Amino acid sequence: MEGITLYSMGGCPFCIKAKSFLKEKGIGFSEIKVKPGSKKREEMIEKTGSDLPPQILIDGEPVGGYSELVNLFMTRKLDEKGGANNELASPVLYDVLIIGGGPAGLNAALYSSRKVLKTILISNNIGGQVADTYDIENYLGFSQIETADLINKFDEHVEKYGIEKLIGEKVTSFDLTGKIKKVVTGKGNTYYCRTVIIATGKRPRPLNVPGEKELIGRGVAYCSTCDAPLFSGADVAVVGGGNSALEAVIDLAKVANKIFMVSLTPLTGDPILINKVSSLSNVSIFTKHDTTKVLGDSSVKEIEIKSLDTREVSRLKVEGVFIEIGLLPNSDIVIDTLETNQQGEIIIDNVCRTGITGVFACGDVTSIPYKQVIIAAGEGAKAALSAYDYLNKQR
Amino acid sequence: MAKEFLSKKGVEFTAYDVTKDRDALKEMMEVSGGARTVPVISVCNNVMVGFDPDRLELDLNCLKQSTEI
Ligand SMILES: Cc1cc2nc3c(=O)[nH]c(=O)nc-3n(C[C@H](O)[C@H](O)[C@H](O)COP(=O)(O)OP(=O)(O)OC[C@H]3O[C@@H](n4cnc5c(N)ncnc54)[C@H](O)[C@@H]3O)c2cc1C
Repeated sequence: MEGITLYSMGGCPFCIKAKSFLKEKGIGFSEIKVKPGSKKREEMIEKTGSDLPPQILIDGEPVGGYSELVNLFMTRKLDEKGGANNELASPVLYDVLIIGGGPAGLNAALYSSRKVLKTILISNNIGGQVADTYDIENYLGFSQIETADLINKFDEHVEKYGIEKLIGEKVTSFDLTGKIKKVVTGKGNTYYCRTVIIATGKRPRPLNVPGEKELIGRGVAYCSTCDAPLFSGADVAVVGGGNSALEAVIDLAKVANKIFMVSLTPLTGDPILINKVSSLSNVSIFTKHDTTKVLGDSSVKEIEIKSLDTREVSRLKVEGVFIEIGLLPNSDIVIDTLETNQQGEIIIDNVCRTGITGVFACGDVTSIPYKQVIIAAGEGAKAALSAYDYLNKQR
Repeated sequence: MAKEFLSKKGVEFTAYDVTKDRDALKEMMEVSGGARTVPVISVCNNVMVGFDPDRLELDLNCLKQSTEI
């Protein structure tokens, strides 16, 4: 038998994958459908020694299933076997593909490239959440460092190893099953790799009230360090009662005229910060108040708040509202493939493995406690070393 | 990033620091229909809130056309 023969069965996901893979690459094949108990099924078992479809034969020689097919293609062995069109160039196969350019992703890239693994890093931006704060005072070796400098140092260090970086691209979907994984970006580019390290971090949690989404960038803000200076002399509100809300109030107190702090609960942040905020003369604190609306046409004019005790609704005239009510993990793209906890954080073991082999996760997007730069960076190193071990065992 | 992009393209531009210049902040909010975020980039009469290199590239075409005429 010449060329590629594929034994398939209805309702078998890897059969569908194998067929669409071959079609996508423009490789011709003939398909033999097998049913349970049929003669064709006997024939498949006899020729391949396996009863699990899909089974693929090239020039009559059994090569295995879907993973083996992709592997042959990636290692360019499909051409030698005579299956593929010789002019068809195989895309690059990366050992490690890292998603996310925060401390976790950057350190994973550093460790991975030092192990001479072929590495690519894809991220919306460099620095991640670190870029949302002004300085870091608890990174070992730097008693105080501006975040822009720290990010530059991270980036320069990684750059020394010349790893491939794709910045400004978002990963929108992927196929993580199988030995070769496929990653697709929002711009429609496709990458193939043996391991994936997910280091997508966290993002600010929205309030989800009317007017919020419409007025983002028009007075609604999520990063006081970035945007506080735009509100000099203005009256503003900060929603939240934890550390990030308290820090936002402290940032704003230096530039804004009056600050209203609105919290659903009593203030829950560190006592040091609570004391500092309580001592500021231009801050009014509303605890046990729900923020129910953001009002304004082209920019924020007011917010509506409601007392949990008296149910009384009132409005505060403000030009800006900073929403500081915690963070959400950027795990949306894997929420239906990987195991996550109640907060949506990816559950990993102590060497950063997820439930799927060859897929690792690290940093703030995972279930590990204590979200800090130094911890995320350390976890990134662990994920890369764990990927290295996995690859060694594969070869 | 936006500044680097424009310099690389050899485009002359004026940068206003709206955190220090209240009048510039007011003007920015007026031309952009209320935007209170940075950057806001105005090319000819196109106003872009945020920095999208692909869009800015397109917007910059108006400069080429006006000099060619
Ligand atoms: C205001 C603030 C102040 C802080 N202060 C401190 C401090 O003083 N000290 C300290 O140690 N820690 C501090 N932290 C915490 C610290 O910033 C985080 O723990 C750390 O940044 C986590 O790193 P990470 O790499 O896991 O995730 P992140 O920093 O969140 O990085 C994730 C990266 O992934 C990218 N990404 C996400 N989804 C995709 C996708 N689908 N495709 C492509 N790219 C994607 C993002 O753009 C980002 O670049 C602070 C955090 C905040 C918000």
